[in-house]
Amino acid sequence: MKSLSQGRYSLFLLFFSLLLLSVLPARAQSKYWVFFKDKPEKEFDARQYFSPEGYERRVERHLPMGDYFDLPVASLYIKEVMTLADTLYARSRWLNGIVVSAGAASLEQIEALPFVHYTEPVHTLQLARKTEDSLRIFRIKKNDSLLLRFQLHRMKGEVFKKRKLNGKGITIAVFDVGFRNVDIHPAFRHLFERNAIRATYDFIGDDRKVYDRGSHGTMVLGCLAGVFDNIPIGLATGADFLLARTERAHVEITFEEYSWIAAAEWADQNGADIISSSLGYSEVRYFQEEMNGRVAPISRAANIAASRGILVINAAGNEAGNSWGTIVAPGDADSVLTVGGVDPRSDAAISFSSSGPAADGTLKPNVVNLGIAFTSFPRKFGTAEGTSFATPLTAGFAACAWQANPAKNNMEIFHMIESSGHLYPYFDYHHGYGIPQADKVLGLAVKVDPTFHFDLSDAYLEVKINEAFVPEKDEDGKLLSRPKNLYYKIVRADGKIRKYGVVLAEIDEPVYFEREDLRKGEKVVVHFEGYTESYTIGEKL
Amino acid sequence: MKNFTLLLILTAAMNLAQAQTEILKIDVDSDSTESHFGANRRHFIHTFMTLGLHAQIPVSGNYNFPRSTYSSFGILYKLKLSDYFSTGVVLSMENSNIRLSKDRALPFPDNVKHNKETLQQFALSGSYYLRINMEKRGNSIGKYLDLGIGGLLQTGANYSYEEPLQGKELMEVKIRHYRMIRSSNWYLYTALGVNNFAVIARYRMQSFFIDNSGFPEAPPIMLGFSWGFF
Repeated sequence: MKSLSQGRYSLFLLFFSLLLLSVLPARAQSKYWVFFKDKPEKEFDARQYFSPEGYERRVERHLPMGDYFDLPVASLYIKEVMTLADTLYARSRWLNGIVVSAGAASLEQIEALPFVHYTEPVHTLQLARKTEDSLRIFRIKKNDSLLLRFQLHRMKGEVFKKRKLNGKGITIAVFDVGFRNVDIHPAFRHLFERNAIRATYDFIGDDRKVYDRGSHGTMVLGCLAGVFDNIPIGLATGADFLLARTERAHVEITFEEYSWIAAAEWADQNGADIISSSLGYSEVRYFQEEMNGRVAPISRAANIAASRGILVINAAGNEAGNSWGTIVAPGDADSVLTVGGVDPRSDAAISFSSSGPAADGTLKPNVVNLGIAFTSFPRKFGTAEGTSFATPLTAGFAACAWQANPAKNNMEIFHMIESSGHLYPYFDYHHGYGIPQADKVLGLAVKVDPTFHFDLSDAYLEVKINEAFVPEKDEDGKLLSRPKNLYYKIVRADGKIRKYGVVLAEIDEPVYFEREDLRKGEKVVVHFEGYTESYTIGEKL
Repeated sequence: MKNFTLLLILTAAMNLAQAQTEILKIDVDSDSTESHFGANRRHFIHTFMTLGLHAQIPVSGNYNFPRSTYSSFGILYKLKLSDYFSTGVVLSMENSNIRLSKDRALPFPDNVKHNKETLQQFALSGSYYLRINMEKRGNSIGKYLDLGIGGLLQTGANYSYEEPLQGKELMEVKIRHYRMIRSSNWYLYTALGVNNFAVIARYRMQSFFIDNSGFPEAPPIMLGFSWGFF
């Protein structure tokens, strides 16, 4: 055996050293969150900090003013940390922290400062798959036109229209990757005519330009307040808007999370009532078991936003088809109204919509909406898929519900939206409480008579639906109408769902449960055509 | 009738809830089991492909190895030791095409200057590596540096070239089972990666050709780009 000469080893060592050197600087100068123990500066000038609208919102809604979260991050603390760190990237009043870059040695010194609570690494660049929505851009076809009408009708939007509810007086902050051509798109002309876009900010580029990059926000805003041929695409055509760019397209950078937090504080300053966020963060940074609202800084900030009286509405995520599967942050926060997607064709969970619950068992998603929606694209109109579009549809609904109930606070509206779900009081981890219904949220819905009953036989617990709901068949046995969805779940004695599903009620006994498989104390809950009933498994079943 | 009853019982036993058309059926317990398998879980396995070039370092006087290529397809197993360290093994099939450009006067592999002179080696390769991750992360591979050691076992070797004939015709010559290439070898390697992608540098620790062949050395360094499929 002949080994290679020593000179060639040195070539390898040289190459290896270069590789190592390329890595070490990144390690040597990483970004970190530095969280502080307290806020010693107690002076807070609310009129200076908030915009007039933000100030007014706090006063009108009897929200806390100048409390711990409003107080600024101590400038003395920042100054002292900056004697050790290199660059200050961001600061958050809500989280009482700053983001800095520092070397390992400096970090140790920073951690030793008496006022520093703890530090947390901020991940740098990650080339990652984003939670993508799939986009299908078509010319307006008959199906699109039907979808346009259906997507508001599915929430009984005509009931809002009849009562002239369009989100007027409500300010919605939309966080996205950019709002290309919103300023020139015919779908939004009405917003500019009445100066409804109150403020814009690009938290990535640190300027006010949000209309020249990123299409996703254009599509999301369409589902909130867009208009096509005088037909509203979303329900909040009368609302005011704050548009924030907090995300880059295609490349996932953890820093985007901090842009989101900064944008949330900005939205609070500027008087936002609702945050509509079709963004989410998952496996690049977290594990599924960390989706409990307490780990991800963005989720913690979203909960603080809720404590400031803002109704935070976030997409559940499009992760059902991949290894992540579950909801994405900040949708895991308990005070965030998390929105999943349904397929308008089946009226059941769409294949990509992330499912819950949160890692701590909190019900997620809270509600659902159409995961395929007609909307505006930067240069046209078309159809798009994703929970990103279910979210603004729901945010538009929330704006109308709040306009109708101005005395309610954000969490009361949150629960009103949940209880207006078409499945309520039934819920499961794919559909939440279902699609919000305008007549229910306005208290106009009529009570539904029982549509099915349980029938216990020797071997089974059967669900028998009323004959009126059984679809008729022709001579060949072909169904003459689409059967309705029947939702069922088995709930353990501790309240957690063990199994659930949706079946098409094609015959009068569409579903039955084997008695042997049902355990004492469990409940079988079924929802069918607006009626929910449960059967508790007793000793003798 | 008996068979029919049995079929009914079996069908019933298969599902807790029976229905005609199920749109959705979720068993929360089985769907929520914490996984030990994943990009940043205890175990992870994925296939990958690498394309590379043998470095153009003049190692043998008047010989050059222009556009010598490397490709491999394999499977990688990763065992997580901590947030920052993991280890694992790699198995792959690989192919090296060593292109030769030489001075006519030199005798390797023969003393005639040919067109498109190529030495081709097919091999099975196995390696062990230690991975250092750069930062705490979620269930993703993240940024990493691999240090590895491996060996390969040759499964085939060819020597081929083109010879001009009269007119514009060319004759392709291929010598199979070429015996001047070492049938086994070992190497060190390092990789710098981010999630699915990595830049790889590999250093062959023994000569490419058999001992006492009198042949010069082929480039020992390979630089490649690897793409993980997951």
